[in-house]
Amino acid sequence: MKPRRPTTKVQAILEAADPTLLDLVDHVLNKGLIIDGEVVLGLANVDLVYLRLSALLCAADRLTQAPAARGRRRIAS
Amino acid sequence: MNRTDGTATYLYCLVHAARPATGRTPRGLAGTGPVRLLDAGEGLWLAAADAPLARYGAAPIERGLHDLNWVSACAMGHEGVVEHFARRATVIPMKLFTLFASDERAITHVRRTRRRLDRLIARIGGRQEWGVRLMLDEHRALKARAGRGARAGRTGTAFLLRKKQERDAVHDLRLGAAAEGHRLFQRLARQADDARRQTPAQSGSGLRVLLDAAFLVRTGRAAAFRAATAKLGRQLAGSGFHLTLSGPWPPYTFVAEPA
Repeated sequence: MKPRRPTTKVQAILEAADPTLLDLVDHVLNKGLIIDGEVVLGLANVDLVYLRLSALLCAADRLTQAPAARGRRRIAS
Repeated sequence: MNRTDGTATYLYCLVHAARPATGRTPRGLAGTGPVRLLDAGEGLWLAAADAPLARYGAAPIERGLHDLNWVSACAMGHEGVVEHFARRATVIPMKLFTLFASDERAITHVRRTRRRLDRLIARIGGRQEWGVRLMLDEHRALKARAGRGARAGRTGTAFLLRKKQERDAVHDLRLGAAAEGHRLFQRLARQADDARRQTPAQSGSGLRVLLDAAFLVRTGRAAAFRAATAKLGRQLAGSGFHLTLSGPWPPYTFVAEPA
């Protein structure tokens, strides 16, 4: 399943702690090729964002405790 | 080093193709210009766009990083462009917020790292990334195991005995679950060209993340990989395990430096 396109406001998606979106942020922010671009990000701030992201990922994982059959989840199928 | 017009060059990804088909390219990050393809020679292109420094300079980005909504919106813009090209050619996705002072600087940098990039392209070409997470609902798993063991008895000894059994059960469960995560990784890795385990973020709740892994799979083998994952997920579901699959992703994990 592809990550969903931003059809709704990001805020709304985040409030629903959409695990797909959080996966997406995790991928683009923490992975990908690192080449020395010329805008260098403060590492402390990246860590800060990542801590919040981890917390949300966990929150999303908790949500997935709900029965697997229900709704649009990215369970293997 | 910045251009006088107050813009930088934002880099989404590198595209490996004789002549990349563009199609209708997505908008990308808010406030950036249309996506352009810069020729780095010998079939390598940079998917780039003008980014106003007022929004994407070091300081605005640092400020923006505190706002997860803003980061998410940027992430979706970035990913939209990368996926657009990934559907048509081999891409090397860049990390979010890769910026250069000018097109020339970006091209120069890519040319300088060309040998490493060619090795990467050979490794990831025609392949996609899939993410697999295995979690355990400890509460459910313990309930499934309960039933055996002494329940009766109101004496202090029986109480202590029961407490010990509960502690042992949790210990055994975690040992077994960790082994299950390892086994799952090994089995799926056999279906993939490359595989990486990441240190899972733990929630501290009843749901324990046992495995957080990425697999690099040939596009033609994707259906088989999905089927294998689904089958393993079904086998595990009965004992409190919960497996999720995400993808296909551009190979973000496999172009990053190994941790």
